Parts: sequence; C-alpha cells; structure tokens
Amino acid sequence: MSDSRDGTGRTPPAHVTTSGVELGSFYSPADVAELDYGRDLGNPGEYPFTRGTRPSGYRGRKWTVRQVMGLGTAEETNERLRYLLREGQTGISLTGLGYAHFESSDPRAAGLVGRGGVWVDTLDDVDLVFREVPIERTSINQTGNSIPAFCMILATAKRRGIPLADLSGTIQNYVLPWGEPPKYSGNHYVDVIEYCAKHLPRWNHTSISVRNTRESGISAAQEIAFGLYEGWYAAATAKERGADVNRVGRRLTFFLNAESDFLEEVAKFRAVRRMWARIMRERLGATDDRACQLRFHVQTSGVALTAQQPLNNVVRATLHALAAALGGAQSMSVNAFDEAFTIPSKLAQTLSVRTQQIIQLESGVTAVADPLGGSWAIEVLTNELESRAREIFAELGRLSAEGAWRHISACTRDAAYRRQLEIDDGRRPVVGVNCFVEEDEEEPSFGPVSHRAEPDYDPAWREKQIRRLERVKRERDPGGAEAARRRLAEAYRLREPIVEPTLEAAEAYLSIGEIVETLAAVAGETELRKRGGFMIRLY
Amino acid sequence: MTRRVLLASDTRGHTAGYYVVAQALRDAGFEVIVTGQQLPREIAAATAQEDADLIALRIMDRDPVEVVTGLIAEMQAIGLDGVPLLVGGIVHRKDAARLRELGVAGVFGPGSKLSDITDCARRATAEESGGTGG
Repeated sequence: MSDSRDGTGRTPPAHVTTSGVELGSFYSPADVAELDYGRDLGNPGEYPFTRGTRPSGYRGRKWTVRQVMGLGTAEETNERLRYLLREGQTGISLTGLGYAHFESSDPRAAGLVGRGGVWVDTLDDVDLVFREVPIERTSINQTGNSIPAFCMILATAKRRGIPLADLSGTIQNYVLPWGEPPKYSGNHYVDVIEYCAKHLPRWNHTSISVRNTRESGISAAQEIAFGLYEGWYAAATAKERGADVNRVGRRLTFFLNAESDFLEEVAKFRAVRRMWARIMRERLGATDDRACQLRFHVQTSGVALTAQQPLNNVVRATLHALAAALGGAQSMSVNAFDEAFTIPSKLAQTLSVRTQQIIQLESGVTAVADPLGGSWAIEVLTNELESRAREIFAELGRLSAEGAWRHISACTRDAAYRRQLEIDDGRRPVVGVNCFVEEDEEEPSFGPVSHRAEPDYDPAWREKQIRRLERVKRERDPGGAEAARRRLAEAYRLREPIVEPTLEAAEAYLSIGEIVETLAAVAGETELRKRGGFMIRLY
Repeated sequence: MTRRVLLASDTRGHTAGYYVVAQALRDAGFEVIVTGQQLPREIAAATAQEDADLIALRIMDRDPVEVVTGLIAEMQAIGLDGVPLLVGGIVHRKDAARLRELGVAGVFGPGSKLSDITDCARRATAEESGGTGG
C-alpha cells in the first residue's frame, strides 16, 4: 500500500473501509507490481472473470431492472407490477410468495395479510399476480425459497401453455446442511436444484443470498467469504448427490448488496467474481467456463438508508446503484427512499426505476466494461479484499457445515451491534443522523409531489383474501385435491424428490397452508423445517 | 434490583435490529428474556410467567396497531395492565402516534439511538405503572 503521507509530512485523516483496509492517499504502479494481467484479471468475459462475465459488458445487454415488490393481495401486486413494467422495469422480483405457511384465515395471519409482501394462498392467486404479464419473456425472481410458491409459478405457466423450458427466473434457494451425505435424500434444497437442472434450463436454481447477511453490518470481505462458502457448499452438496457440477454452476447465482463504501464495493464485485471462478475450477472441478462465472443480482443497501431526511436516500441509493453498475451486476433493485419508515410507495418505486434508467442511458458508464479496472486503487482494493476474504473462507472451512453457519450468524449479530454503536457515538458519519441533523425535523418533506396517494395497508385485504380462498376450495375438484394430498404425503414419507408432487398439489388447488399441514402431519414441523423449502420459520 | 425485559417479535427473520436492541438493553443493566416470534396471547403469558417489568416488542411485518391492540387486550385479560410497553421496528408515523395514544411508552424506528431506547426503558420501569410517556 502507498505511504499515506500527503507530501507535507502530515498524516491526513485515513479512511478505513468496512473490511479494515486503510486507504492510501494515492496508489501507483508499484502497488500492483505483482498483478499478472492474464492470470488475475483477463479481459472481460475471460477466466477468472474479474472484469466481468461478458466481453462486451453492458453493450450487448443491460442489467435487468428488477425492483423487488409485493403488496396487498394478488390484485394490488398485479396492478403495481404492470405499472412498473409499463414504466420500464425489465424483470420481476416478487416478495412475499409463500412466506406464510398457513392460510389467510388462520389466526396467525392477523395483521399480516398484504404487509411485507404479496399474500398468496393458492394457484388462483399466483395466476392473478401474473394477469396480463408476459411471463414467457420476462424473468421472475422469487424472493424466498418456498417450493409451493415456486410450483404455483410453474403451474401458472403450464396453464398458459408456456413450456417450462422457456421460463426464465430465479428461486432464492440455497443449501443448508441437512441429511446424511452423500445422498442427502429429503434435502429439499437439493431437490430444487435437481428439478431445475432437469426441467428448467433457464431457471437459476440457487441464489446465494448473502446480501441480507451483509445488511446486518458485516464487512465487504465477510460478504464475499460468507457468500463463497455458501455457494461452494450448495455446489458441493449437489455434486455429491450426483449432479453435474458444470450444469449446477451455470445456474447458480449470487444475491449481493451494494453499500456506501464506494471504492470498496466496486472492488468487492471484482474480487468475488475472481474467487468464485477459481473455487469452481480448482476445488469443484468445473470444466465449463460458464459454470465458473459468478453472475449476481444486487439489491442496494436498506440499512444505509435513514428515516431522517429521507430524500438523502435517493442520493445514497444512486451511489449504491452506480457501484453495482461499475461492478458488473446482471440485475438490480434499487431500494426505495421511503423504506426506512414505510412500505415503499409508488412514487419511491418509480424513482428507483428511473435511477437505473438514468445510469443506463445518460451516464455513459455502461459503454465500457469494467471501466475502473486497471485503476491502481481499485486493483489494490480488489487484492486486499480477496486476501481478507480468503482468510475468512479458510476459517469457515475448518468448521463443520453446521458450525460454519452458526459462526456466520454470530458474526452478523456482533457486527450489527458494533455498527449501531459507531453510528450512535459518531465514529461512523451518517448525514442527517449523527451529523448535519435538522433540529425539529417533523414530517419528511417531498416538495410539491404527493408522496402517497394509495393506501400502504388495508385491513380489509384479509377478508377479501379469505373469501377468495373459500371460493377456490368450493370450486376445485375434491377428489383431485385429495389424491394430490395423499401422493404428496407419501413422497415426503419416502424422502422422494419433493418438487414434482408439490407441483401436482399446486395444480390441484391445494393451498400453501394445506400443503405444509400435509407434510407436517407426516413427521412434525421441526423435521420439515430442517428439510427446507417450505418457509415455516418466518411467522 | 435488576429489571427484566421481555423482548418479543411479531415475526421471524430480519433480526439484526432485534438482537442489537437485546444487547443494548443488556449492556444497560437489564435482564433480557429473548422470546423471538410470539402472538399477543403468548407475549402476555410469557410476561406473567417471567414476571417481566417491561415488554419490548419488535414489529416489522404485522400491522402495529392491530398487534398492540391485541396485546393490550390479552394483558388486561390476565391482569397485567401495569406492565409498560415499548415498540421498535418499521412503524409508520401515523401508526406511531396511534400507539402512543394506546399507552405505548416509546416507539423507536430506524435512526433511533440505542441510548434513547435504554433511557426510555429505564424511565418506564422506574414508574409505578406503565401508562403513557416517552
């Protein structure tokens, strides 16, 4: 690293990145003398993909504008979704699908229906979510890993005559340690990978969601290392169960954050791509270069956004999005400026789409692949992050898989507390919160624009949803529903792959609540929780 | 005497803030009973069982007014009217105002300082009964 003196003999105040890298005041070729272009960087589109996965960068294809969204019941979500697509959103990301493992009529659903995502009970709801939405040519990200919700998406496509092989999207599936190696029979996370490999060649079966871990306040190096470990574990487990690692790798994606430490973030995306390529090739034996490419979706930071002076969040999110663009994201969701205090409004979501459009169409940064590559500072930071992340990754590797997950969990709790203490005592400046505070700040001011015309929550949504669920149950074929339920229970009992029978249950209009109840009746909720894929831990 | 706080949550997941507040309360000298996700009836029962001096409730997903109204009713039903209540999480301003009307001693959203939360917890447990304030 460069000497941090500024030539006057004084040491200027240092900036220490989240990963503990103390930035020099400038860098020079001497700082990257060890860097070998072919080995460590390569051109964009070349192994180890430090500079990106495509030779033409964003010229061939821009990142997908994919705002995460889900509100109310299927109707409200469908309306907002079609609005966002009209306004230029190019992909879909739905939150709430299958988050609750019980029906809308269950007492546990009180105060919950339509908050924190769209509420769905049956295939009828999912079909309605996608009414007049061209799912045959728009990729769908399913937030969460609910297998029943996933199956309802597939069933919707089947009803419309769309071949499953034409569908593109992502399920936020990952692999948690469960089951006896090498078969891991009954591990539903691996069932999803296998099903997608067979039937959905364009569907990303795994999404390593280290973004949400980062949100607790861990460092960029920890985000890299934890993500790589979880990615490695998913691919290694699928491989042990007999999957072709090249095939698995081509559809394994990452879900990353974009935080405020701008230079470090750009370097992070480059470092994680390089490290993943090497893990896939050297540790897992992938021979197909495409299987070594780390592709990722970014949802910009939520934790960096503030309730105070909320318009400042527009500026923060723009910087986050720019870092992701310079880092080569394949897909992006820019967090809404009002999300620190409310369910995102239409105005704020539209602005998030516009933020991406302005970067794509006006800033010019999409013309050049990896435009910051070759900057001495960025290359030094990329190397520094790699070496720190490698140490953390090695530390996780010395633990059992269960131990590694526990360790990650402990690190996040510790980091979240430290982050808050640093904000409270002013060591970590947050404009509008611990410096440049506006005294007597009352209501946030949004200028002449009416911030929220539509309701953010309506308690009547639950009644409406219950009525729809009752109608679906009245109208479905009772014999078909019962047969599908029996078949599902039997497959689960025998630890057969679970996706196919869950798809049949979805097509027979069983609700998510009924599906989960059927499985839990076989061996209890704890067992079902361990096997994964039914999201029975959330509510 | 060490004051006991029952720290409950409306849903699971997204727990970063929840554990941060748990640690802050501990560092401020409270004994913290971390229950995780509970329904209002379960929170009231746990408060009685643990003999808690304060309930701190994280609300991220459910309708805050519905949760707090339900909890107050459950507490009254078993004679716990005097136990003060703090709420933290994503609570819209209009809901926060309503919660204060319902008697919640403090409502803390993103941007709150930990010392403000622990000060409020101290004041609330120093009073004879919960009531309004904060």
